[in-house]
Amino acid sequence: MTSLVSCDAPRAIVLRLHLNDAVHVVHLPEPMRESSQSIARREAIRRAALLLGGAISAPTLAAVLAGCAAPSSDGERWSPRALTGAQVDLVAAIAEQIIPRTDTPGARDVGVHRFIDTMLAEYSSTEERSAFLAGIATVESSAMRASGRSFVQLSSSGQRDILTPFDADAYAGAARPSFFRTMKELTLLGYYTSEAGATRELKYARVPGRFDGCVPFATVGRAWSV
Amino acid sequence: MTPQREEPYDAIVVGSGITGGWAAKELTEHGLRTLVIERGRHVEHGKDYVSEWLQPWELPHRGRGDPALYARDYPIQSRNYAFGEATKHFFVNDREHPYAVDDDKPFRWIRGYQLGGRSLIWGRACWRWSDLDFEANARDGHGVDWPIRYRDLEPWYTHVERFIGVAGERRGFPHLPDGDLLPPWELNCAELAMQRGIEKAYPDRFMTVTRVANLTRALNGRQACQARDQCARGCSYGAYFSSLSSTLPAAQRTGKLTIVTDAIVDRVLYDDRRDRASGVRVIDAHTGAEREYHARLIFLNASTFGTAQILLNSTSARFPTGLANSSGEVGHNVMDHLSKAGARATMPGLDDQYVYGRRPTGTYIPRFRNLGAKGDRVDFLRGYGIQAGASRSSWQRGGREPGFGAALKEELREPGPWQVSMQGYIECLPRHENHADLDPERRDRWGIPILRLHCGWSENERAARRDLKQQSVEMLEAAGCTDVQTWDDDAPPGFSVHEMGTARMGRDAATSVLNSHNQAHDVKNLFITDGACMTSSSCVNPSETYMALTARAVDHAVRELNRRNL
Repeated sequence: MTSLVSCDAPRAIVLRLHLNDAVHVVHLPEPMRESSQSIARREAIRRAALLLGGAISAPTLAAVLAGCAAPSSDGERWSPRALTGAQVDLVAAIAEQIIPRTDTPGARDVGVHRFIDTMLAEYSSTEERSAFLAGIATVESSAMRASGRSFVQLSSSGQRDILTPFDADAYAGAARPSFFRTMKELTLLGYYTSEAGATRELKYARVPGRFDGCVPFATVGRAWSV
Repeated sequence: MTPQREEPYDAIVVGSGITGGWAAKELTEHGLRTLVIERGRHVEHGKDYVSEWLQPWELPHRGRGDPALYARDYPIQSRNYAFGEATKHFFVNDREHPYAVDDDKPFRWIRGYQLGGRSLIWGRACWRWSDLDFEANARDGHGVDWPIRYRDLEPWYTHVERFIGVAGERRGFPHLPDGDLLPPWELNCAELAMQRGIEKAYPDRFMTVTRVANLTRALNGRQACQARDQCARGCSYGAYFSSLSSTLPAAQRTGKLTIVTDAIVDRVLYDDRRDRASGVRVIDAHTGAEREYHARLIFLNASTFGTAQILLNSTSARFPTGLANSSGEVGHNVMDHLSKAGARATMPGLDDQYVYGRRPTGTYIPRFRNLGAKGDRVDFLRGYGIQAGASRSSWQRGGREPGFGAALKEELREPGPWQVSMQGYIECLPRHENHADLDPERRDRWGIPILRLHCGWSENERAARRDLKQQSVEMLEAAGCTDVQTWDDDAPPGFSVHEMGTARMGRDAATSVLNSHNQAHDVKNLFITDGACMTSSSCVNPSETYMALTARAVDHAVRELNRRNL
């Protein structure tokens, strides 16, 4: 029996093959994952066929791999469950201020606002959710008070000026739970565990293959996300 | 000549975890038709590791899980370090599997009811015990003397290591014997600095990489570890030892193995006329229907408390307080290791050094107290080992300090300082009052009396913990660390998942349950080789010793069977 476990095309293909009661795992090494999906597929088939000594035909493997369609991306419909539309925009703007797009995607690009909506709906307690919603409301009222405009309408530097005292305040008093600290932690979690945050902004080895205890940081270049 | 028995099995093994798997492998390889009975669901190696290939962004809560679900169904299990969004399906639902504790004596009973049991989610540290451990009770008078010594177990440790694969460093510690080891995992730069600092400041203290059942090269048809450090999700490479990757496939290859899952053994059947255990009664986990299996040999490997529960529930005219319990010791002498305390610090410098890959283990400072050398005596008995490690913090530190925007993002591209930690594992004295018994009123959904656990630490463990914290601080400072702070979760027993002792081995049938071959003093064809059998707790992780005792017990049982003594 041959079964496909994971096919995160085009970046990685991992096959698990059940053959004669033994389990064989075939995965593509890191450099292969940068190549196109079809090349990756052909390579996976070639490796699997080599490993199995021709016990499974290439067409059979190709049929299994046909399940490797590219994942559907942002096209699907999404609607928030804990936030209103206006609150989604506000959360997205604050998150983008915390982790902005630079030479890599920012919080908005990877959908941190969607993640925060999920966490508010499924992870937070009623009290935590209320505190969070009250917190973003104070950001909005702070913007209105300072400029007479909504936070999302401010320029990036204007938004930054509004958030600066929130950030300072969040780490000044030790005991008081702070909305902005929660916002920041959720943003970092959502961003650095997103595919772009984990693999493009930072480094991630899906299957390292070995452990080297002492390597110069320069050879890695960025922090490991995991 | 007795007529050919109709029963298809020579041996029954109750439980499929670390020791049940070993019993099955050894029994079948000796040619015995063996039935393994598992109370939980079937898990197929590879195919049922459903979360193995999920990436961080594919977990709905990115690893944080669902607090409402945890509070309702996993209030105990969710406290275990290996529990999480990607592993919770290998832990029991606490609500469906209740047990009772005294109000002032919490106990965290961590369980995995599935084929493979807790071997899927264990910590994989493998150390041999030594005569420092096997002579401990005789030396200070706590508990009863072990009926064996290191020389009895030595060949069986080797036997186990050659099969499971243990990666580790040979250091020649007399009280932590070297074994048949695969190449060790590497220390990282900060750990090398710690090692140098500690070993220089203390001639009698050492630090080594943990000996661990993760393969540093392929072995016995299993692939080498890929350094993903996510073992508890299951590993299709078979790179860490579990019943599913190792022992059960070996047993399967003999053609002598039968596995039954979703079958809860509630009692061992005792034949008064023959003075032998004749089989087991099981309750179908889904239908509640009862049925029996019979065999000439019974191995209980249902875990320390699971085995005690079965014994206590197996009453008869001959054994009114539970099978093989003429000593009254069944359920008593529960031990765990007191852990969840130690010290943390920062190792300054080494900013240009980093790691590649995720090593699936940490490092270890073997016991240095009460070894018999001058000057190491302290105001408590026995000792502790320390699990240690160092790593560079990553993006998580961004939430703990002020700052946001492009500057924060830029800063988090580099790893933070090296953080080091130490956590002690303290030997627990065997005490009769720490015990498990059956609740006279409450029963589980299958009608089986639930277990009540009555366990607490003694002053000796607390005194060792005070010393542990102080010594951890001193060693970290000696190693050049800064920001040194102690930590102590004041954790109740159970958290180390090293519970043991409920059917101890001993020389005297009046004070112990099992003899020197894990054979019940009272019932010759009943063997118990899980953690229940342990006479003392050492401070060293116990699983490899359970495995060695199991292989040794099977060897003895088969000999006795062939001599027609069972």
